[in-house]
Amino acid sequence: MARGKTAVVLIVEDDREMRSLLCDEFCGMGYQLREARDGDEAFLAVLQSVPDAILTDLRMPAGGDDYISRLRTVAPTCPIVVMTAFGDARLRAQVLKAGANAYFDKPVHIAELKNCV
Amino acid sequence: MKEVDRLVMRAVHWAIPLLTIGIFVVDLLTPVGIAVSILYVIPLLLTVFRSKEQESLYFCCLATSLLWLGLFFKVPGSSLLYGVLNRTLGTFVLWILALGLIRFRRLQHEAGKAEQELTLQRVECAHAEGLMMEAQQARDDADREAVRAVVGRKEAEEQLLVSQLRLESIIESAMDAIITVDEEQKVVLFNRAAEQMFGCSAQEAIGQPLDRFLPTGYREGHRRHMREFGQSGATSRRMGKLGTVMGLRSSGEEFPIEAAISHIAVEHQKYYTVILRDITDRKQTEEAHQESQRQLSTLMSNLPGFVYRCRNDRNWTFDYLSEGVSDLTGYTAQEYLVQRSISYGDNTHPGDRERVWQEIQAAAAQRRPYETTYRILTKLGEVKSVWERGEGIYAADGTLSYLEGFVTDITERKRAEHLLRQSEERYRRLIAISPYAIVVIRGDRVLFANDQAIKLFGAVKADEILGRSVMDLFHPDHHPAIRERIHELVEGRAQVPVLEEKIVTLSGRSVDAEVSAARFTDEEGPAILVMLRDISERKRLQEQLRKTERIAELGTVASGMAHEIGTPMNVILGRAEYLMDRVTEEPIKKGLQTIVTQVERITRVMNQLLSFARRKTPERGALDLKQVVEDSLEMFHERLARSQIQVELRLAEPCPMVLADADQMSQVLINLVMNAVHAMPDGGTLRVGLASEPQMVRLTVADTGHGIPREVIKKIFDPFFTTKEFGKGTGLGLTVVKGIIEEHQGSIAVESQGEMGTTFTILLPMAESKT
Repeated sequence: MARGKTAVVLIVEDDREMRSLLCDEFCGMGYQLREARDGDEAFLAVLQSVPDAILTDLRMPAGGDDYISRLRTVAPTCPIVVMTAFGDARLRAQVLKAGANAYFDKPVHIAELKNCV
Repeated sequence: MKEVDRLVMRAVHWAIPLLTIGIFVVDLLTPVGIAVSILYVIPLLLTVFRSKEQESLYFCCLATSLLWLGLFFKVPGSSLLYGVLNRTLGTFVLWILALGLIRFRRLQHEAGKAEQELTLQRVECAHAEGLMMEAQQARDDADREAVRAVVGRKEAEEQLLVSQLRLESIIESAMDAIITVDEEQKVVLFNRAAEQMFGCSAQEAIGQPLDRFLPTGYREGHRRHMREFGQSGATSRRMGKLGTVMGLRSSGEEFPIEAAISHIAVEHQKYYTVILRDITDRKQTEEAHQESQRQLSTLMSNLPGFVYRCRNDRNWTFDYLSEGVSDLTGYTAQEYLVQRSISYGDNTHPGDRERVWQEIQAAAAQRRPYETTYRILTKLGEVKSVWERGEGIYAADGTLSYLEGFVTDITERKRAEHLLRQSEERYRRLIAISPYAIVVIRGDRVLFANDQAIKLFGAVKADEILGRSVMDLFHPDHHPAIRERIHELVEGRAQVPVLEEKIVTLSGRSVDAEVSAARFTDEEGPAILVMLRDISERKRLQEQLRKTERIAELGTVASGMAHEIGTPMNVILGRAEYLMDRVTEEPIKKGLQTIVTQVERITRVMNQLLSFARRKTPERGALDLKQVVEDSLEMFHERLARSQIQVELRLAEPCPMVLADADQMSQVLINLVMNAVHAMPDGGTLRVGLASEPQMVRLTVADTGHGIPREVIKKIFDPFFTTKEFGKGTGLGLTVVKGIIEEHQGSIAVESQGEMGTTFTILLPMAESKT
């Protein structure tokens, strides 16, 4: 992800506050942000145009275990960063297997998230 | 008168010669002149009494000779002439007398003969004159006999009377009936026994035909018998010869009699005397005897075996043997007794032969009955078991004559006994291997305890429990309930439901047990069967399940919470960090930092809670703990080095595998090592050991840190108990460790000695023992 261009990051988060926080953080970093409130919206957004990166929650409407694999089918190469509240090793392995590039347990330090993205 | 005649005759017979000789001698002695010779007249006259008339003539001749002979022996004297004259005169007289006598006798004789002839002519005119003489003689004899008879008659009459009386008393007192009948079969004598026998008085009987006393069917036969007997010439026939005949009482009753018969002829009349004996009783006795014989014989032939009489030799030579022997040995009694082709000694199984001999000899020597069992070989080669009982029969001098006894087949019984024993053994085994502890109590005392019960109560031998009061075996808290249950059973309830009770082992330990009981009755009376099962393990598992369920619930709650808490916390954390980047005032920055720290703390607690709650179902398998230890220490490598902690490993080679879940073991080690690290902030030595114990593997984790105070050590496994400074520990680490170890049927213990550090010892079951 080159810094020169404005990279598009799709933030998928059902919690308004969390979404707002992420937007604030990533806006400041110069990313072009798109937002989705649940899995379906994220799906539509990806279908519209594949972002440069997807930062997504897991437990939300139309989310869940197979959400990542569905998303991966429409965005085969797009990096997907998953964050979920108090996941465990099993979930982490499952998510990574489904095609996610990174996994974070909430609460996550925004700095770590930024580093990853 | 005849007697006198006879005496006179006898006297005359002797007087004639004596007188003649006497006269001759006197004549010789007297002088010639005296005429003694005339005395010869006297004997001459006496010849009249002689029977023959010639005798007078003969005597006259003799006397004449003697008369003249005497003259020759005399001395011739002057009187010779006188003598001759005298004797001539005498001779003359003698002869005149003799001739006169002869003539008289002849006349007399003729007169008699004429008279006799007259008589004969009057009767039959046939007898000869010679016979006349004989008749005369006979009459003389008869006369004489008559004389004699007159003398003996009185005596004979007396004797006859005595004899008659005696006979009568014999006849009357005879036990047998005596009946005399005449030729017409009419009763002439009927004694008292006969009266009793036939129920008929002698008065009534006499003159009656004998038929009256015989049943109709026997009358003809009887007549024939009598006829034959009369013609046979025999005078008597013994009782029984006639066989049994039937008598007829006046009451009409028939009865068996035994008869003897004799006949006599009195005054040309034939009399038959019948002696009868009522043999009803004897017949009955005989019949009873025959019946008892028959019964005995039936009994013997139906005996499942045989009775014997044998000699006391090694062949047991039989003298008597019942037929049952053939069923038992296959040889007939004939083969033993007659042909002697087989001996019972040969039938006895060689293995038992000597023993049986010895036993019987010993018993016979002590004169006691013997009883023994042994095997025999039958004709078909089968082996049978028999039981024998017998005893010696001793002669008067004390020597053993015979052995008598009874032998019976007990093969079936033996087989049944064997089966029974087998069956008993089977049930005994069932009871022995029963997973339930089984105790039988009677009254209040323990009568029986199976192996499980012995084990349950911590005893080694049954004797330690048997005879004890049942109350000794149960916890006092349960005594009232137990008494109530025993009472119910004794009162008639068949069984009481299963209840959980506490038993007390011999060492005094309480053990939870499930107890059920049932009443039964045997020969010795009512008893109670108690079945117990150690449920301490089940209780423990139940407790554990309950805990697991609680934890699972907690896990569900925690997982739900986690999502709800996770996002808001992230917002808080994110916002605090966001602000921290944008403010410059130190107090605000510090405040924001506190928020961040606290969120991190909440996160740690949540993570611990979740890891406790989210424990997945462990996948246990054979696990090499050595590998787990090494991996875990590897993770802490940097941390340990930083804290200047030395690591000492004492790992047994080879160490047995444990049956455990790798991740959980890893977590256990991580937690324990982490605690050890925390206990040694200023460095120290961490010792991790692995050693093999019977059925178990021992894992020790020891530190040289500050140790755990005594009052704290009891609580270290309690949830949320922590000694770490506020915010550093969750209080769940050791709780999780303990939970994991117990799930593995292992144990964990802690030992801490002040400043000497703390040692955790974990025992885990070996993989081999659990598969």
